[in-house]
Amino acid sequence: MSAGTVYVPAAWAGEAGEPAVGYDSLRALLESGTVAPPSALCVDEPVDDRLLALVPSGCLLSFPGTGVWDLVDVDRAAARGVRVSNIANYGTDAIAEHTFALILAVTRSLLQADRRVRAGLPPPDCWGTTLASRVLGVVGLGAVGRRTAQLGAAFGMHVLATASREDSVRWAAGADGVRLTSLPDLLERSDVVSLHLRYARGDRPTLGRVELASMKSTAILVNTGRGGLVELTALTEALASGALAGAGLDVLDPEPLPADHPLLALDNVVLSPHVAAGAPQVRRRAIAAALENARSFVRSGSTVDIVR
Amino acid sequence: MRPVVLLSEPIHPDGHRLLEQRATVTLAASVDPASLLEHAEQVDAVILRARGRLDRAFFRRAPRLKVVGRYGVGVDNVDLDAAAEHGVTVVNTAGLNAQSVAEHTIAMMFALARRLHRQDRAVRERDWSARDALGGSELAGATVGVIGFGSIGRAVAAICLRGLGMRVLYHDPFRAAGADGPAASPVSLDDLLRHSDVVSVHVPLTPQTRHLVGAAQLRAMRRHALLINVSRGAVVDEDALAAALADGTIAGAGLDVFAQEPPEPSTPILSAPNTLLTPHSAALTEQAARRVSVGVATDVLAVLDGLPAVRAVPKPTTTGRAA
Repeated sequence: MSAGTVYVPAAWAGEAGEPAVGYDSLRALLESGTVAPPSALCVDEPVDDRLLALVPSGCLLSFPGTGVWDLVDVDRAAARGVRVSNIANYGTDAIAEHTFALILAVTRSLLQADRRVRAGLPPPDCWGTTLASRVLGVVGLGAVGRRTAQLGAAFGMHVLATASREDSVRWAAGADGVRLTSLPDLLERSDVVSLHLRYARGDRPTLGRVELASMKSTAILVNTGRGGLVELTALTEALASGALAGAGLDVLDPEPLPADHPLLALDNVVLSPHVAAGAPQVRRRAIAAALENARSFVRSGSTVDIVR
Repeated sequence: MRPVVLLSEPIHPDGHRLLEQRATVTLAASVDPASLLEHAEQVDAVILRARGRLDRAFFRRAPRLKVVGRYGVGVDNVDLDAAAEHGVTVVNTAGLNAQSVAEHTIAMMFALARRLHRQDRAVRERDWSARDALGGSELAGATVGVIGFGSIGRAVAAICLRGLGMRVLYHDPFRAAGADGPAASPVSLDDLLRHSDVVSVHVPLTPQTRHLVGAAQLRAMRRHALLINVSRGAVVDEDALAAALADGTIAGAGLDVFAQEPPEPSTPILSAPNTLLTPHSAALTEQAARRVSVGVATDVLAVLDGLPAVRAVPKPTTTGRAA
């Protein structure tokens, strides 16, 4: 059996160097029939089931990010003999920082304040709240959730968290000022709720109408995880009616939202275009790690970050 | 007889209620000198917010005045010499709003580093192509330079060190480097400007600190550096800053304070690129406003009762006034 090839999106050519082969269209590449196992495909886009069916068994799909469960059906890939790799921990600081950038921008109404100054309007009497001594609810204690919890503690916040994985439960037991609880309890007690869960295509939203309604009306929601974790219609209604004080959203479902979506007209929302991990240095790290996974797979048939 | 307390502007209701239990509370019609002066003869105490000022003429006309309470930290709008000469105690609310101002500083740091205002616009305008240009930079591992190491500067340093994994340099024009702060390194102003990715200003406005950050200091900063000023507008030379932003001498600025508040529509800083501007609201969170209001009311009432104040501002003969 011949050695496999590393394929990369054409945009990565500068980063990849030899001996990777650049492609413009993943579909065209797969339809050409030139990809043979044990090749590795670096992929920077969603792979739907029809595209997945074209990937030969014994090949690797190497993604430059952590959350791949909404980009490809991991179980279906495994059943077909297609391996999938992601990158753990590449953007932990960047995403946790972006989470707090959104939390602070929403609690201080920073963008509204900026517009007010430029319009020459006087400040209102009180503006926003202090984070210290308030309750941060971290939903999901993977790497980013943990870092977010630590950041909250540094602001003097009380941190509640939910965790399902055993290592996360162990981490929480050893972490200062972080208490584990159930999701309903967390939602009821938190002033700031931040989502850090996996999301796979077709999953039900973690925060639906009922969950959103159980939050304090003074609370804010921040989502740097995946748009599908929140039922968008219910969230928009809660924000518009004052049932929820504000939101900071880096992810939406779909992205971008239709131009006439009512969320885009709300003043108590700060939005960013799925860039939490998008700092250039972070992006370069992610691409380098995805390439390393691909090369390692072609060389030895294994990668450090295989998704099971 | 009930003492009379003049408020330059409304204050948080918790402190207002406290005053009303013991004193007659009067609200000035405006913060204009003439409007404040109208009340001078009758007042035993004045509570002054950031706008308006109490100058020598006021103290001369106020024979009953015993105490001035600054609803905030900076006392640049009180003539401290005149107050001392007339035996008037000045109290402020140092420390009570430190957390609020420090959090606002970090909020601005993040918003600028992430270009949040442009990101928000990109989403609302569905400009997904902006994503590549708007990634911003991480603060972890970056260096923040804190100018002024009073209670606010220290609170900023603590969050940067403990929470963000940043390196912290500081420079304080008034106090010698001490071992009592968080693990930050004291440096000269010049070294601080040269080595920081973010420079944040937390000094009081005094003759020594007017335009402390001017054209030369901005030129010493790194081209990718951000400047944050939540102290007093005049500590930074605003026109020099507008020019430095326009020609790329520094990358961005977050300003909560201005040379004139509100700034005139034609002020150059309003049209400078890469700015985030807030209306002197860093200390105005609900929690801080309540603490400041109750704190200043308590101290003002104490002085009226002949008791020592908790947060008396040192008389002008002493240097080392806290930020």
